Amino acid sequence: MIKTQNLSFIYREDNGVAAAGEEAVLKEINLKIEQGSFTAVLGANGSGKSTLAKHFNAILLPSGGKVYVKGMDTSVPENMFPIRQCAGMVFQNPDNQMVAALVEDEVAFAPENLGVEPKEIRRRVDECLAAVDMTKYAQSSPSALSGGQKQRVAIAAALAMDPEILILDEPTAMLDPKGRKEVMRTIKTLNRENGITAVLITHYMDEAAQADRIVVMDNGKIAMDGKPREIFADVEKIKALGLDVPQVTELAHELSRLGIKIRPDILNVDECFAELTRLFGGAAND
Amino acid sequence: MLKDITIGKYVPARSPLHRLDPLVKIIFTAFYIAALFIINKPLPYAVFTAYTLIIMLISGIPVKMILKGARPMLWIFIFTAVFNVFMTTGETLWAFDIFSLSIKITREGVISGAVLTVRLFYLVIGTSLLTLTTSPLDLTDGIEKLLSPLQKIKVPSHEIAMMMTIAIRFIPTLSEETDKIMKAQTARGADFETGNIIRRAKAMLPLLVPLFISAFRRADDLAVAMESRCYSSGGKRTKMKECRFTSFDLRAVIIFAAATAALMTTQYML
Ligand SMILES: Nc1ncnc2c1ncn2[C@@H]1O[C@H](COP(=O)(O)OP(=O)(O)OP(=O)(O)O)[C@@H](O)[C@H]1O
Ligand SMILES: [Mg+2]
Repeated sequence: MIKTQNLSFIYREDNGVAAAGEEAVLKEINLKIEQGSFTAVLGANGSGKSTLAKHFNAILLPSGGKVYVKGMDTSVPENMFPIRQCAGMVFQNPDNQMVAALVEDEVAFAPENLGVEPKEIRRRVDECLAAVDMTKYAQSSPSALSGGQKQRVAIAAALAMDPEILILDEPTAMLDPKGRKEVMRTIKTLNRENGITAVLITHYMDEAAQADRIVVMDNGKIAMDGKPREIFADVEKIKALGLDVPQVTELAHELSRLGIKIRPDILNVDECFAELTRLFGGAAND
Repeated sequence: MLKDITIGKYVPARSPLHRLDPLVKIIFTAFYIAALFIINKPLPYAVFTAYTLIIMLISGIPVKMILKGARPMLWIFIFTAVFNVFMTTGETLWAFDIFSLSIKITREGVISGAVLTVRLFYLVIGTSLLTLTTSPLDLTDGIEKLLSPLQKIKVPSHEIAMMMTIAIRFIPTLSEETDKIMKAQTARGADFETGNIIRRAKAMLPLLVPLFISAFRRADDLAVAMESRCYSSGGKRTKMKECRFTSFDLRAVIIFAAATAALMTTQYML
């Protein structure tokens, strides 16, 4: 779906040579994202996650190497609109990505830009609002919505292009726990039921744990890449990269260091509860 | 006070005014304002007031909310009224001396003060009715159509319209932000309330810097978000809600023309 080949990127450059005092933000990245997958991207602040994401829909073009989206080279100007249509993007701040003053107009914005027929736009708007469960709010003003609802509208607005990939750059960073849950549920449903390939950049480990695959970035390079269980099993390495593991994973890790025989690769509260019940038997039922 | 500004506030409802083609509505508003400055006799004013009342009642928006939009303008109303009352020469109604200044209140002054205040008031009501019943996107659409003849002389009508939509869309966001920054600075000892105008203006300066920085950052974010959704200024766009001139609009135009003719008759014939 998305493929990068030795992708390098420098913000201020001159023919591939960095300006004085500039360092490459992305360094020789080779990454392949499969169709229908759900990938989480982790990494400390400034590790280059957003920069990488902006290469996936031709907002930024590589300083070196190539990026292919559905086989289309992002550096070819004619491919720009087909690529952006194919890879929808949702950003962190819900207020800064809304154009319109009415929810349904916001969702209609992208297909209007693409020159879609009015009747078809109407159909897509209704369908996309239903997909994120926001049909009720079609006629509301975005400023009247909660953070989680705004982000779901932003997701619907990207879906209205009929994309195959959804790239979400910290969509839950400004939300309360309830809003975060709503958005995560929406992303997972779209991935499982509608077959949308999802790339989720996040700082929340419990969100990353829900993906099929985690890519960890460090200083412009890919430091780790694998299934959530494999990634979080290496607690020391994750911590060395300036990140945390999910709380339950950390608990299991600490317990096993104390010599308690608990599975070290626990990812969520349910698994943790099952393990603890098994370990402590009847005591947990009291 | 910032929250009272009704410009850019759109109140969705099902009313004949909401249904009207935005271009038609903009033209009506222009005529409404022109008529307001043409009439100058009691009878036309009475008719005009009746029209305004009818429009307010069919707008589907609570009258209270419409009037609230005029509240931030209150000081301007009072100032213009007082200024006119004292500064117009004519038949003296009442004269008195303060500090060896002789002040005369004239009949003409009272009348012109009252007339100007009434005109300003209706001006605010008329324009708020336009923005209250037209979603910003429709409004831009209307402006774009209004400006489209100018495209021949290379006026970028679409870009101007887009700029206006975004500006309107960001008014609530930025006024909320101003409020937040003000509170944050007040908490750290800034004083926006006391002192003379110059002192207060100086206190506002540290407010503007973070506000501008944040506005630019937002603009940058928005540009990327728009590009991500395939926006390009030269592109061929379509509209989900095509504003077509319907028979409903035609009827409205006829009624409006008849009403205007009636108003002008009371002004010039009676
Ligand atoms: N527009 C820009 N111009 C110059 N440098 C930039 C620009 N945007 C980001 N950078 C730099 O590039 C590096 C990577 O930034 P990026 O935003 O991709 O990181 P990130 O992983 O998304 O971080 P965060 O978790 O804070 O979102 C940072 O060192 C940053 O200072
Ligand atoms: Mg980022």
